[in-house]
Amino acid sequence: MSEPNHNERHITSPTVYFAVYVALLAGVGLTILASYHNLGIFNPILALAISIAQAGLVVLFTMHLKDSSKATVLSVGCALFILMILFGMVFMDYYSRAWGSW
Amino acid sequence: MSATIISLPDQSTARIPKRNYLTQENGILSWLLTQDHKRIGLLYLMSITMFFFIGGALAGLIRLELLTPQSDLLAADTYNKVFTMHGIIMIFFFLVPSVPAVLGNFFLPMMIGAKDLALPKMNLASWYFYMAGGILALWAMITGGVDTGWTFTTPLSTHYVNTNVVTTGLAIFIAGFSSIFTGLNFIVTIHKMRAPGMTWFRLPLFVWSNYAAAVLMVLGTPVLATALILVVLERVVGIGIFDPTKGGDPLLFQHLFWFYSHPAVYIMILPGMGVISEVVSTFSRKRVFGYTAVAFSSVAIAVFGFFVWAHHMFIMGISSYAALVFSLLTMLVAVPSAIKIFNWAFTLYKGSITFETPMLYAFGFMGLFTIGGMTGVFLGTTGTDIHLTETYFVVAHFHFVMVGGMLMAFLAGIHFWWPKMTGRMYPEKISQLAALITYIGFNLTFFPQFILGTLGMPRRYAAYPAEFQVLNVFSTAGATVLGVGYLLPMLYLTWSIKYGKIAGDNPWQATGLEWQTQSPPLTENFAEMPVMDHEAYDYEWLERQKEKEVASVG
Amino acid sequence: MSDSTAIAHGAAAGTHHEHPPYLRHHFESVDQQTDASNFAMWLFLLTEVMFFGGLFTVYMIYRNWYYPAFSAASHQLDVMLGGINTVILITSSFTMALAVWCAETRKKSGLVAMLVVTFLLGVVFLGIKGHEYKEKWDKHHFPGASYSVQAFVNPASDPLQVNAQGKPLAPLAPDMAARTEMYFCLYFAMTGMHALHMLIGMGILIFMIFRARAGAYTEGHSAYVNYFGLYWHFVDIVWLFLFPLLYLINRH
Repeated sequence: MSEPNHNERHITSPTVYFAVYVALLAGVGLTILASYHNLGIFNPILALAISIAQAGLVVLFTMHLKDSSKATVLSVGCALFILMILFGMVFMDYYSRAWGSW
Repeated sequence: MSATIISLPDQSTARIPKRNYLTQENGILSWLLTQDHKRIGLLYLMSITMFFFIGGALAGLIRLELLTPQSDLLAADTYNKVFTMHGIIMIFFFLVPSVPAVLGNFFLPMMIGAKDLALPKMNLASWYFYMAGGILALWAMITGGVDTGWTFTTPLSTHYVNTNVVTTGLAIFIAGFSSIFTGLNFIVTIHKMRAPGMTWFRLPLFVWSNYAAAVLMVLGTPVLATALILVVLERVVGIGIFDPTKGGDPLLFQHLFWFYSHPAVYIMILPGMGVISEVVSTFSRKRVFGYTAVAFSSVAIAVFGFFVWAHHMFIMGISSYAALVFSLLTMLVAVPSAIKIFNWAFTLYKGSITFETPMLYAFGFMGLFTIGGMTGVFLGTTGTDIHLTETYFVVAHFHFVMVGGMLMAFLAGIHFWWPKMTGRMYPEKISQLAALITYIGFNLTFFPQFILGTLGMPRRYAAYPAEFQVLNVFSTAGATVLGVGYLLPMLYLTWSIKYGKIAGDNPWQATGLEWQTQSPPLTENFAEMPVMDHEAYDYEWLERQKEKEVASVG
Repeated sequence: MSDSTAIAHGAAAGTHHEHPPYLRHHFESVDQQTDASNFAMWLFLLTEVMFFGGLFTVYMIYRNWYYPAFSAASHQLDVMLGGINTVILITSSFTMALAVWCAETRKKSGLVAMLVVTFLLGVVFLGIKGHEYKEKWDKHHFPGASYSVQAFVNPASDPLQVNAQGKPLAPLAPDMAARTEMYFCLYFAMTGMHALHMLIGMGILIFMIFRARAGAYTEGHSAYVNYFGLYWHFVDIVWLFLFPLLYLINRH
């Protein structure tokens, strides 16, 4: 840019934002469509998979995680890992309660 | 830019520099609106000291009540309120902010060679959130108190008591922001504000352990917020998430609560461990043995801390399979803790040890924390836990870790850095005496409680069978001694602000960056940006520097 | 390592480098400041992730325990309204991204316009959300003393309790029907918490619109727009999970 000392960050172009926007809309359509078909166990799995993919697109491109520092990427990964620990270990307790005692 | 020169000036000619962070600006507003991390550290120091003595007074009431088997000094419900408020104040308003918010705030930027924390306004906001939460908690205490225990266990807290649960819950929710802000600030500062040459493996171990604690603060505290908000909503609008009559599971609250509150134990102890690393190294004149192992053990404690929370719930009705898994994982935490203890012991080996007050407190820490940690293994084992949980064994265990460990570390740190904070020395002899009194008083107070616990005396009752009285009298007597041990530093440290011997820049001849500037420091910490060109704790390097200096002067 | 060399470089350049007014005193360079603040914003969002994580844990447990109740109660939500709201929120996220782009490329009027559009989309979202809340309130599906299980023990009485083919759903046993209240507890807690975050965001948006009109973000320092954008996108992501989990249980 005009100021020599000012190190401009990488600017994501509106095309990328628009592509993500279209992908998100397609994702919403697909989620709703899929929920009206009987896929058995795969209904919630597919819905969550689409949500995760959408969230991934937003995080990587719209929120520029792709261009962020390694520390940021690592922190996000760390938080998601701890979140999975929370989900997984609470679920483990509830799931195994049905097994009764030893 | 010049390379850092380790300054070892003559103590007898030392002066308090005219321009420092204390004299930079005057007036009450210059303190209340300050964005200087050092001043915010002092604000925290004053406020947590106040809360410590309130919590301590409540502890005194508890011990006095337990002097006799009957519930005579306090009625049973008053006793419940007293121990609840003791726990809440000591945990959320003293232990969690103690080392990070006071010593970490003050010294972390200096140790990494930064001018301030990365987000000074957020730092100030964190103190205001802390005070708001603290005042709300005190208000809840004055207007009727709360008697659920500091754990807010459902359904007791939601259905069976009618005390100030909502106010206290909100107070802790607000104080949680202060904790998050401090932790967030630390992580950003350590990542982005290090001085040139300050690589990750040159960071003092105090910084490493505060970093690990900060990760816990940032990732754990929000889950506590969820749990408390749901309890508050339950009481206010009855949303039923923990209400069995509406299909809720009270145990789910404990999962969410302990998901924070077990890591919170490490939020409390990790920064204390960092202080001990600094102190042990300085007063043995040796680098910390196994620096990398100690650094990574902090991180390991932080990570394992998230896997083990349900060991607080073994008898609460979790599945026995989950109990097995959590019990095994709990044992893992013993490994990094032991790494630290062993490495400190090896640091002492062949060091030239001197016994200044901080070192005495550090010795106290190592002994008491080891006992506290080992008894934790008993409690982490499902079989023994069934016998010992909810007895005085648990009380003794966590007081050994929190009071014997953390408080000793806090006092070690306060004495160690007091010359840097105020520019004046504390009186050495009387403070050595205070450290000794604390140690004796502590053991007299809490060791009998281990025995009481194995004999089966339950915690949280105002009355107990007469055969437990002898040990309880020991414990109460010890608490009196302990009280004197804590009052003494309060008095002589206040005295020394005005009358203490002038300390000079580096009274301990330590290598840390915080000692390479004037005491008390400038508002911007360093006159020019320091460059780190040696390892942390490199006392061999320091010896060579001293020789060079002597040679050049001569 | 890379961080520290960056700082050293900034310090070396410091002598002949005039400081822009938005550079805080304790940073060596604008780069360091932006890096630090951006990282701080991400960490703050991670605390938000953990906060919502607690709520999602509760949801996960009860959905598994009371699946029939959750499935039946989910039919009370309007997929059409929920879908429209999702599209609105995604669009607002898109306009917010464009606002960031406008700020970075110094297009003042574009920035103001995009922020206003984002704000208005937020208003529409909350309007529709409020309409949905009112529906639940009127049908006594707000948890509490007046909660009614009528629609679930007798689905024929409620036009919404039908499957994709238009046939009435099977009635629930009274004890399971009572558990639909748990679903609505979670529905109100989670969407309410989400709406609260949107309200906070819209408050900040108003503030930013005024600052942007004064040209605050289009003179080289666009970072604040970017940080707020991160927050707004995060709120969007939370909704992307809430929508299928609350609206689309067993619709077929």
